[in-house]
Amino acid sequence: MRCLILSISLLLLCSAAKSNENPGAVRGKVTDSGTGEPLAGVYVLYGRQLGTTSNDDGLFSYNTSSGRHSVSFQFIGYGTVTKELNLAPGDTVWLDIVMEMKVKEIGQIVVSAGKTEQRIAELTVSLDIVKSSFLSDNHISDAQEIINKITGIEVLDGQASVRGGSGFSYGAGSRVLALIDGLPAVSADAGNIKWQFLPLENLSQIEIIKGASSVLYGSSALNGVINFRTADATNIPVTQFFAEAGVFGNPANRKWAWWDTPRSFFTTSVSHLQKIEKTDLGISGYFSADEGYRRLNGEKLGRVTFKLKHFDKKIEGLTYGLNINSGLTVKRDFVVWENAETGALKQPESATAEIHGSFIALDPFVTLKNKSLSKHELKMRLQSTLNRFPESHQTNSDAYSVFAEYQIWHKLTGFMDLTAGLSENFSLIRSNLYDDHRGLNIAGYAQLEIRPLNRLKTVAGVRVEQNSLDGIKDKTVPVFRAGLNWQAAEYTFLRASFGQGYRYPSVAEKHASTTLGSVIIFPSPDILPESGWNMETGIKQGLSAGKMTGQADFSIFMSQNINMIEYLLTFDTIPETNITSTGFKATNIEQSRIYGSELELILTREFNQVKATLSGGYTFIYPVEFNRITNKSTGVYLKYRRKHSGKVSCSVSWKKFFTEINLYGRSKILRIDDFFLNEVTGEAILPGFPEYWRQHNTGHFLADGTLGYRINKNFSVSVAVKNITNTEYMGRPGDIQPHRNFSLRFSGKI
Amino acid sequence: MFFIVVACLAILTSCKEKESDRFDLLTGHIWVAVSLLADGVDATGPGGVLEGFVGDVKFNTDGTGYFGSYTGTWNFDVTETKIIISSPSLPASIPTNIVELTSSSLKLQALIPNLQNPTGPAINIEMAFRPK
Repeated sequence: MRCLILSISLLLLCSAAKSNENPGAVRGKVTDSGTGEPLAGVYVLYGRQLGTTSNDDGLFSYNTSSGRHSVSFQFIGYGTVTKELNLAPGDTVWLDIVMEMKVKEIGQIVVSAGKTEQRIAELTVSLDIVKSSFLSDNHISDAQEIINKITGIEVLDGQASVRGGSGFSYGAGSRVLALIDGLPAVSADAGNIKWQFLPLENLSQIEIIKGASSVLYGSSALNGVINFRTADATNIPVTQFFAEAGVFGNPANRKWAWWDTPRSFFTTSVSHLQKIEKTDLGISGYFSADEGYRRLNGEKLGRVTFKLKHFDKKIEGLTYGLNINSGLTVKRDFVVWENAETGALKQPESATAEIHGSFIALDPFVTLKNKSLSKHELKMRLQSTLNRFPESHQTNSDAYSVFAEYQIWHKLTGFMDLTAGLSENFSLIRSNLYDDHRGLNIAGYAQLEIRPLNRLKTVAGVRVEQNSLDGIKDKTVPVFRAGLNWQAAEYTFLRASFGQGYRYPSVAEKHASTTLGSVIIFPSPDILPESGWNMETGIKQGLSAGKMTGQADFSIFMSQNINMIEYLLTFDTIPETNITSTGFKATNIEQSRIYGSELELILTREFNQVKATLSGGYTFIYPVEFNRITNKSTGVYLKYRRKHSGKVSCSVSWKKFFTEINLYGRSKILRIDDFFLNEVTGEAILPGFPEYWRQHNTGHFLADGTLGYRINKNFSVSVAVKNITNTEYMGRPGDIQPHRNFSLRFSGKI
Repeated sequence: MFFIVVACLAILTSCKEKESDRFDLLTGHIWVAVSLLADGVDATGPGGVLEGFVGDVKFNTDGTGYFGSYTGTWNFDVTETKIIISSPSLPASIPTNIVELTSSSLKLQALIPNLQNPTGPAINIEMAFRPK
């Protein structure tokens, strides 16, 4: 630390000394060779350890002594440019610097990791990006499906688990926070992610932070963050659409086929983005009708989104607007199968109920940016999530929330930035299932980013948060994070980070009290918050050889969480009747510790009219319980985790043709709830399950493929086959995943 | 400096908890049943609700254990006033209240549903053990 302060002081002293001479000036602009756009944040290095950065307009300037000196321009992903200058006393030299992108993979811009724009290679944490093109190329229109296909992530019946950080807790609560443009998109009652309402039809990219992120995003970000960033309007208006129709084939086990005619699905969407003078406009719509490959598991879904952003004419840097995300669904969830022998794709009518769900979020915002010096943001989300059950009104639930956040980013000095904010989230729940409740979350956070040397970045942050439910305050929770990133070579970045996380139990986990058929849910009002931390170290290597570019990323990580909540099948007393019975109760029972490593690779090569991309990843985890008293790992595996998972993707486009093959592999689930394996309770809940599990919990390999043809510059047609090998596999117990299905898509971009 | 303060605070808040006397007492012995009662009556006979708990009981330090004829896992609840016993051989996890835990005695109590009369009163089970 002393060395660091000394270096900073020397830098400042040198700068002051040099500027006092003031014999000459160098000014200029840095632009991208491909797009001609100005490049902001380029390091301009001259003399001995002296430097500055380009501003938002790509402009830079510095004063220096006369005579010969060299100046170099460095930017992540771009080739370094060096200029030799011979500066006469009193001269001002103008430089037009054009930089060429060499390794675009490490230069991608993300916002989720620090709540400000950063290049992916300079992050202190692991972050994956999914581009919207991956969704369209692979006929994916379900947010759950795309997240489930990311290296190191598994979604079990709607619950996302990043690097094994979460198991399966029957839909109540999420340890991974979903965001739409940085604003939380979880329901206020169950605290779960409403995947079907996430706006994939107007998407720029999805950013996934792997690891605890509660310092920036608060409760629910215990295990990670998934930020769905919508697309902004560009100077050229763009209209995109697609229509897709598909059918399911027969399952590998022909005894399970229960239909007379093939089960089909249809999806269509349209989106339009346009700039009108100082206003950006975006509108999109989506509709799908899925009969479902399982009986009583169909869904009709519609979404409409609207984006309005206005750049003020009078006040430079002032923007304001409103985003609206809304959706309606009519569906039946799949709960339990009829039996393993012939009815794994059927569920009894008594086990499921039709849900009429709706979601609307109104997001007004104001941003004031003062060039590259500061940025103020005020964002709100007014959200309503309604679940209506026409056949069983006792499980209706209406949840409303008002989220507001003020954030300031300020450049304190040339090498130090501060990001700080205040947020509140008020929620109101009106429900027969959970009873009526009011919740309030208030938080303040600050994060400091220091760049003592041009190749070294350090980050430290703290958040203080308090939750209250029905006026009863929980203890104030402080959480911390720290990290560093060191650019060891031109395309080599080393990182290390530590972050704490916590999760306040959802209203569902605390207060759900009901009898669903023969299943009883006990309330658990005294349940405690979950908390934990994770640390990681990793290396990201940009790759460039001839016309091939890419990146490799390797990380090792460890996480530990205490008081993890699980639904136990146990004995308890029903409050209303005072009868002791068997049922499910949310319990702080799991103390988890996960060790692991992850390798990800992407390579792209363009030659003649061929563009080929090879990407993939492998994640290994060792997920065990640990004893809080001895502080030792017990060797008892955590439930619903797998040790190995991996993915390989290959896409090739040649002239008007394009194709993509994706291969996925996962090892067996290490452990599940004991009651599923008990011959009495397992058979009662899922007939035939204990025997099925013993024979089929072996891990699985899957293959998806797409073949397409570009009719002209505006239109294309493609065919996709998912689960080509017709593999039979399961998510959580009783949840058989889709067998082989075929779809045809017609797409357009005008 | 801010970085160091944050790192120190983070380490301090992640420190290991103090050792638990109850944990040492529980895991320090192989226990043997002295009495296994259901509503005050011995329930160890053929078909008795506690028949399976007859024999030795061991709570291992790694969270595994055997409880008579059942093999599975055990956990304290967060207040260390309950032991939750789970096993694939049991129909559900049993949360038992710790009535007494000393170096010479372990007494557990729980309410379980009466499967013969589901809407009637629960069965009160009391299990007493001594070190083997």
